[in-house]
Amino acid sequence: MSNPNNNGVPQTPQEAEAAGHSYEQPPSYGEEGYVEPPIEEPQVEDVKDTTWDDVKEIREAESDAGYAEGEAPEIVYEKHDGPQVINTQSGGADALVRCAKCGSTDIGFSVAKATLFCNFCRFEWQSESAVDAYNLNTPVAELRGVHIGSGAEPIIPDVSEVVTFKCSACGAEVVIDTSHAMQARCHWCRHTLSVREQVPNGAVPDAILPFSYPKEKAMERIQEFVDARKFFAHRKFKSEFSLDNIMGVYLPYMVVDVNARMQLRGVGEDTVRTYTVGSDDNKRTVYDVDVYQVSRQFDVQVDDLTLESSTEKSSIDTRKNTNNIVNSIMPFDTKNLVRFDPNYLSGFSSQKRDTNVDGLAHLAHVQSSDIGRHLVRPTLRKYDRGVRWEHEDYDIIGERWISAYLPVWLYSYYEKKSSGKELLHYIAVNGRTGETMGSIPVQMSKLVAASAVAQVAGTVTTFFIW
Amino acid sequence: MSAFLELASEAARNVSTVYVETSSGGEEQALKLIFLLSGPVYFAVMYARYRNKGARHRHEDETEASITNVTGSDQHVRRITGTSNSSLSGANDSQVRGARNEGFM
Repeated sequence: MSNPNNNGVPQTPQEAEAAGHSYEQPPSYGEEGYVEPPIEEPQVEDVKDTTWDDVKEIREAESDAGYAEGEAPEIVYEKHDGPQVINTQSGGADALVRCAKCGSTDIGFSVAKATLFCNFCRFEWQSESAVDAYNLNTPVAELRGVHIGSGAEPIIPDVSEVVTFKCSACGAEVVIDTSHAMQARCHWCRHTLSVREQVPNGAVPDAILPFSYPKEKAMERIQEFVDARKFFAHRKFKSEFSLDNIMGVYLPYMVVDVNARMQLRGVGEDTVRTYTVGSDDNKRTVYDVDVYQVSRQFDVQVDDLTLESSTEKSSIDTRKNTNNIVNSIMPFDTKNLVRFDPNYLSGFSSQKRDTNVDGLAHLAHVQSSDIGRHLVRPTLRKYDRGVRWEHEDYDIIGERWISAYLPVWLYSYYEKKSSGKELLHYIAVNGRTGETMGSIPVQMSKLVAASAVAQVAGTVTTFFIW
Repeated sequence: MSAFLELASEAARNVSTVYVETSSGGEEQALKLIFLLSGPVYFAVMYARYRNKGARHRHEDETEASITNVTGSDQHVRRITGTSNSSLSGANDSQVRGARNEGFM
């Protein structure tokens, strides 16, 4: 008997047979002739804007539609209030990084070509671009929420600096102290072992910008810098200065993209007329001014804001250190960052990151708001007397943090003054662009004497001219 | 004596540089002041050249960035006549708050 609610459509094999329809049960899983249903993999484009709420809705709809009572699996959703992590792990096994051509672990780095090369078969290659590998070229304007590279995740204080490897070539156990080195040779089979896993101690960043400015050129730049400042340089510095002390260092930075909305309100003034009032002896210039209530709203997209992520180098106090010198040689061409490979460190020293995203977030927001205020200045040209912003809203819509090693050629000179104070002077050269800046200890007695001579010359000149 | 002559020539060369750069501005009073304070000015210029205490990364100019969807308003409020202030008091549109180093010399 057909169910009147089914409009005469048979619902069971028996009903179908009774109605004269032939019905054949398809083979089940494991039976002969079973055909697997096609699996439709979602395309990246289809799910790129999907949120966890969307996923939950889909799962609930699936649950409502497909499962009988009590058969629906229990679905547990993770909480995603925190940042989204961009997985930048190398994916390769730790320890042995081999030449793709011959399998040797004896790998070098050529600064002149900015390539890695096999010391055994001379095969040369470059690491994959970090921008492509981690999909960092998505427009900053589309950033939502906080995205953090897995190499920029918080440092866990208790994680040991020392990593123990089992050499996969001979089985020996080899220890690497990551506070001093990222590679070591197996003492038995002489293979080079490298730290590639992102141990949460700040030693392995997401990306690295290999040196491309040769040491010889950096030495020339430093020599030119010193030669141009020899006259008042401290005599002890002049006698001790040696280009042999220049070393290449990879310093830790955070590279940040910021997508924000900014609103500014304030007062602007425009000069209408400038004229002189008063008598001959009491003349003064006065101004007629139009006052405006000014407001601007705009979206800000900041690409690759670069911040020091080592406490030692980010502490800038010119009374105590010359870290401002290292700060001043930025920017770097961070668009050319590549996947981190410890072989780029061979022949150079490196400094570990010891600051987390939380410790730098405020500075990143302040600096990106500076950028916003500066970019909107061309719309304020009318106000030749300036604008006083009295109210400012700066809302971060999205941000992306990547940790990176950036290359610096560094000359350092330790000065101990007669007063007992000590100061470490740096001369730094950007390991990519060659931009150079430095601090030279001054022979104060000589400079004071020259200033006295200048004072006499200036006074005499004033006497003759006026 | 030769050391003194070397000092004098270095100081005179730099003072003349200051003179040329400033006279092009045409501000006679400022020029007179610079000459009268040539000793301290010379010291400050030379010290800054050697120690570079004011050097810093100019993040506000040197970082790749853009602004979009710019809107705003400019509403005339009033006219002030005869003020002797040459600029708006408290103007902060070019202020940099995130500078890591604000040293002068």
